[in-house]
Amino acid sequence: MATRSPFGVTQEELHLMEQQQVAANVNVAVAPAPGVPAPEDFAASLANKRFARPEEVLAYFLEENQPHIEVEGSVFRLQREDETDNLSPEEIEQAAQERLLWDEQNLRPQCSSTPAVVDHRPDQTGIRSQEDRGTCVCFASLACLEAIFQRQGTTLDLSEQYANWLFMQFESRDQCDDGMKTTDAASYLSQKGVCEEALYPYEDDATVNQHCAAQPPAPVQQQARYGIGQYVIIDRPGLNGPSIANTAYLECLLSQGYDIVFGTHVAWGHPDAAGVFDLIRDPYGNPLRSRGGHAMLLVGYNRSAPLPYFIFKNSWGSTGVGGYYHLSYDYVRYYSKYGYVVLAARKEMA
Amino acid sequence: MITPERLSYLLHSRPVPQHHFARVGEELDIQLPRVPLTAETQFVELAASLRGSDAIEVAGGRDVLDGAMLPRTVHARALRPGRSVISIQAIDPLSRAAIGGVEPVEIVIDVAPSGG
Repeated sequence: MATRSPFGVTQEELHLMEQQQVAANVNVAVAPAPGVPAPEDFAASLANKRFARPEEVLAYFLEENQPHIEVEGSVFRLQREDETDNLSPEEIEQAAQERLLWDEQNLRPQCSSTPAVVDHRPDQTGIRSQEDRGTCVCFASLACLEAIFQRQGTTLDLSEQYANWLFMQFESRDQCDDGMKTTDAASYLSQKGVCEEALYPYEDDATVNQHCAAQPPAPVQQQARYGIGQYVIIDRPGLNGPSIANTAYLECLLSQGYDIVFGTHVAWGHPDAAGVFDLIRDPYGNPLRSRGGHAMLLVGYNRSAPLPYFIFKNSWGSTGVGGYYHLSYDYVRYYSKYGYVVLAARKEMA
Repeated sequence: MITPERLSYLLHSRPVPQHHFARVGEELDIQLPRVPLTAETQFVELAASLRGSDAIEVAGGRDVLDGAMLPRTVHARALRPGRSVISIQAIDPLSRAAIGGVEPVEIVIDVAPSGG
């Protein structure tokens, strides 16, 4: 099999991994030794995803669409979920060059190629601000619905205040509370709808804390009719296949017109001149620790930029690039958590 | 840039129980302050550390929710009599130095002998 500039792992990097007690987790074999897995086992561990934190390590070492990893002169290929052992080396190489993903049977897209740039920002409604509340999931989820309706010719401003009340109801919490798992919102919005912003306007933390137990008036609840008809959850099984950490998969979804409600760890520093937040390491070489969870709406990517990046609609006012955050591919591979795609929105929830 | 005063407010404005009592062998869920992750807190890390007499063992915490900077609770097990303190401090994520002027949150866990 031809090797196309494999991203080599040096002895120093392996030593660093060992220092970080990561090598043991992924069974990286520097050299055959008693009790140390042979390189074949290492390759098998990659293919079978039997490693504890491999995606975190590999995400750092692998470049986008780089299907090979080299360890001590031996080249291993990361096997995709759908690939079979029947492919010839030439077919494998051809597949890699064509960015072949997988044949979808259950709502998974199929991309033989993707454009260098996809940008759904023109489809988005206005930039919002969650102010001083942890309601990012509400904003990301409703931004997704608003964009779908916008594409259908209906401009809407949906109520994040109502969404947070609804989500907290599902979790037996009051509307002063906030913070939730991003993907749970998909389930909630497929069961109950939200109303428009004008009917239940957003409040900052101090204001909402004056009436934590309040409920939207009955007439408002009757107008809560915007929700999700069909959705797909994207988990993080690894770097391959339908994973939130698979940048090729994300590109594929975006190129087919989907936005992705995206849950991520926050560990960025300051952006570069182009406004891109990249993965940052501490003086010991470790990627920065997560400082918490956040949800945004993934609306595009730019693979042709000097530092390729994904485009996220944020809910922090005009911070970032006019309210949008640019996260590098390495950042997304390392810190993404999960997400969901809305396949169909509804205007008439029961 | 968020000010130390504002950070202190966020850490302390939603009080959590700051003193727990347990007997050896008991398990307890310890609630942590709810601090939202927002534009103003995005460049700050809240670091939790455990000190004292090893009276408890932290057995794990729930995942940090999206929109939050800390797990809502941590699960602990009382190991031996004594006092442990969970301290939550605002730090700079790069230098890992404490941010001056921010009062840490301290949660005290006193463990008594079992059956005493």
